[in-house]
Amino acid sequence: MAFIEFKKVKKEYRGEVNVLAVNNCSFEIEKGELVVILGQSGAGKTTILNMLGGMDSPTAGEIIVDGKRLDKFKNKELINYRRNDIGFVFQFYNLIVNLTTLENVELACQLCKDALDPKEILKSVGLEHRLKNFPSQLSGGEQQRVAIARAIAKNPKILLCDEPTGALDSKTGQKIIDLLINTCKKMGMTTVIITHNSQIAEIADKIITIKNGTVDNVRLNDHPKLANEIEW
Amino acid sequence: MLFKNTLKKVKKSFGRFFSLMFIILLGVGFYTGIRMSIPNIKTTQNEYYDDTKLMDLKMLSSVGFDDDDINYISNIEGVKSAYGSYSKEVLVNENVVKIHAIIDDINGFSLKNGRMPNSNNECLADERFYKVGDEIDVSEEYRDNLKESHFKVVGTIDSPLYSTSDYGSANIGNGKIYSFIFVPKEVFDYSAYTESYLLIDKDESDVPYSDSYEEKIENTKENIENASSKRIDEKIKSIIHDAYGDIDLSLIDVSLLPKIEWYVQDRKDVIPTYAILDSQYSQVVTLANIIPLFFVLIVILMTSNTMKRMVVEERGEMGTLSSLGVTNGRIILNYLLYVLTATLIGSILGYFLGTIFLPGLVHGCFNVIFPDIKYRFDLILFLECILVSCALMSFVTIRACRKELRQKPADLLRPVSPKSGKVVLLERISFLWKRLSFSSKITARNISRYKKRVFMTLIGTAGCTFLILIGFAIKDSINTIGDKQYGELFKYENFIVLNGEVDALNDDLKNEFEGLITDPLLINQSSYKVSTNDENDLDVYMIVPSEEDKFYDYFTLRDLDGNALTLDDKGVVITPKIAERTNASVGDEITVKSSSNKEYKLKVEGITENYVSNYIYIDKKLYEEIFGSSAKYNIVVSKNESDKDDVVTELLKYDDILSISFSNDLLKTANEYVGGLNNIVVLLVIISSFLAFTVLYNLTSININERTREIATLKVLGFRDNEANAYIYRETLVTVIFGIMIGLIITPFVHAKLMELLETDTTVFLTTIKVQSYFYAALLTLTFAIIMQVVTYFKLKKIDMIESLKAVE
Repeated sequence: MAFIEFKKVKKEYRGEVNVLAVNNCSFEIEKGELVVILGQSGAGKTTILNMLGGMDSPTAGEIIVDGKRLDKFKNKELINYRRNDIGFVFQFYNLIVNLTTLENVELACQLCKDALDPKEILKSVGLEHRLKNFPSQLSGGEQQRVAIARAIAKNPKILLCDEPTGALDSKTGQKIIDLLINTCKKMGMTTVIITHNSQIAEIADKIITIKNGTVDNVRLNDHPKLANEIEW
Repeated sequence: MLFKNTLKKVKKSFGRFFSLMFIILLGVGFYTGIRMSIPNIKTTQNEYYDDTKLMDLKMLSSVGFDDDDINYISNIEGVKSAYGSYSKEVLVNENVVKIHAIIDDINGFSLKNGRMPNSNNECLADERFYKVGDEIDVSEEYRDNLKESHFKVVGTIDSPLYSTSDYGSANIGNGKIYSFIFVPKEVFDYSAYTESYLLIDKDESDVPYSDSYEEKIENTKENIENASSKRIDEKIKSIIHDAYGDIDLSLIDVSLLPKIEWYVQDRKDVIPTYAILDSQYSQVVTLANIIPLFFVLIVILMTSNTMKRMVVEERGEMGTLSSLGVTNGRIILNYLLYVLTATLIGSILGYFLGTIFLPGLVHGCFNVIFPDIKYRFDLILFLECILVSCALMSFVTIRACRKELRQKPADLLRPVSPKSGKVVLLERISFLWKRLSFSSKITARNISRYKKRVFMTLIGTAGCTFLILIGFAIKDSINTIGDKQYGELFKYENFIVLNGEVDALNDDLKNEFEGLITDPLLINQSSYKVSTNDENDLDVYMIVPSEEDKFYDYFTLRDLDGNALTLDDKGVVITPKIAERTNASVGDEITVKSSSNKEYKLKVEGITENYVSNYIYIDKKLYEEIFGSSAKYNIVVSKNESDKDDVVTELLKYDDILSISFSNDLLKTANEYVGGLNNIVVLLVIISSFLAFTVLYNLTSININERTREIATLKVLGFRDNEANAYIYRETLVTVIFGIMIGLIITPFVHAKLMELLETDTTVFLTTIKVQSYFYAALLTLTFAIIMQVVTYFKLKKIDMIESLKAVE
């Protein structure tokens, strides 16, 4: 059995108009894999990531993570799941502006028992000289590094990244991608990256293409590219 | 279009609109309610007195009045009308009941139940103690001068002569009037009227206690006193004429002639607590002027904060409008309309709610029997409130808008960049900073980040604590003076006024006291005036004890540090109010004036603790030295040996005893008098809880709105709801605790000042506040803050991570 399994997952938002965001969506992700979910904006990839990250629950279907039925989790279990098993990286970093680089990472670390040393992690993302700076004093790329450090410092099972380079220029974006590849490979952390950029997708072990809320194509990439081999 | 937009704004942010309105409502309601209370109560009192034709003056004569006297009096200048009347104190089941005659045009009453009497054996009785159908049987020994001794109650009434629960003293029985009845005047069988009641010429503006009324009373009293000697001379002449015929007056031995004296009394003398009520009114007015001001200040701060917040949140809209070419004036008008709608609704509702409910509550604080207050609408105050609040709110709004509109439309369209983090002061003290836990560090950062909000929370909670504590403190100060005065300082149990003065305890008195009281101490207590810094003399009692040893058993003389003081022939011991008003300290001299206006200088040897009235204690040797004659004694203080009622009943039978009072009763009256203070405390607690809730709610919801993204991030990171709540609320809680401390620290100073304002010439209040009061004030405020935390907890729980973290538009 795969580490992560989506089986016929459906997500419908009900309101004045019912919106079917995700439908009949099935795929598998292996432990330690670097996966890119590729799709146009509005295709439903963020919804998939939200469900995988325990921020949202499916309307129907099964989500299995490490042998557990995520779709059956209650709110409390979801919080614990987010707390211990998930690291999230956003397009707009979402750092706490009032805390220093180090404190932003510490904030996440104090949540779980087997957290990594915040200073070590920041050193590994190349920010050891920025520990006492506030987010507003950092460049976009640096801020995203802090966000990645914050996500991986919790030592999660899965690292989820929602358009991590979306707000960055191509050069900075490359460095972030490089960091993500390294993290995934060195730490053996299952990493899922969402992007609409097919160039970036080439770095993945597996590329899942989403169209109109469902899986259009799953492709295993035998020769994942390095960060410096791609350009956009 | 403009209205539509405003309406939309109201709909969109009903919570904000409501809280804005509610804050204004609270401010206006509290201010107007308290402001209207005393005028309203006074008007009610005035109307009641008018409706019942309450006497302005009462006259007594040593020989009674006849119709010619009454006629003569009614013609004196200033007197509108005079009526002869009767009254008599009798015992009914051991209680003193005062019987009054029903006179149509004066001293009326309001009939509560039943009907007017049709015959002489029917009566109207005090509503508090009797009901229709009760029978009243006058004790046998008091049936003289009454044609009937058995009355049936056919109606119950209240009378303005008995305006408070203290009915005054009696000359029989236990010395206190228990109740009263009114009977047809034909019931009385006297040869002359026992008293006369007068109405003076006055107009609508001469309401009770007003200066113009007091002046008219004084003038009329003077006229009567001047005119009465002429009438008395005439009366004496006619008596002589009747007895001796036409003879030369100089041949008559004057001492054989009947002595005729007329006395004039005003409402202060006749109606118990009429005078006290006046000082209580001014006390409440003082409070009413101070506390709401503070409240108004908070309202302005809060609303200005809310408006600023709103304008900042909507800067995008402002930018859009501005870029479309809408003038700044029109944009501001939009917000003005929003604010003024809230202000109008809030201030109108506030005015009515405040003036309808608060005067009743304040009225309840007074120990009075006159009717419930009627609602009164004061157009001027109403308009004043609306205008002032609209003006203030407009000012606040325009200021907030202009600040934003000064920016270019393009800048306005961009979201305001979040305030960046800064190194806090505490961080620079690195040895301390290192020791702080992670969460304390975050709290410290947040406090310094949201300075304005923290400041408002500080003011709000400090104010709340202050209001609660000041309520308890006022109660502490006033509540305890009775216990101190009649329990700790005056340790005698009864106070017997002798008829005349004696040199020593004679055998007659000793026999009379036998079995009733023990350890009697003779003292002289006489009234003097002390010349003070200003032109108003201070009324004081001078006390000369006959025996030193017993004196210290009954009177505690101790300075403010608690050291015992003794009397000697070097100087006198005075009470603090005298020292304060004369600026005298130990070693200085004060000047006292006797009733015959002779001045004496006394050297101050000590200042002793005292709360009620002013006393000068003087050694009898020194007294003789200064006043030139040895002291004679007019009062006995002692301990009770027998039952209180027995003491009174037995002793009042003797001619040489004028009256008896008991420390116990004085203490009870004193405590009753302050009973109403509990309501003030309750009122303050209610109001401050409203204040605390609105301020905290407003601030925390702004806090949460501003930080939704941050909270959502925390949730994604896996913060549990309570952890996120703690993260957000901890700084508020810390601020609240600081606010409470500030409140606790400032209150004693304000309280001391306030008590100074409330003090009268005859009272001194304690300024110490009980430890419990501090505790209650802190605990209550903290409770409010914690309740608010529960409310925000649910608000926070509702925050949707996905929605809040969507990309910034």
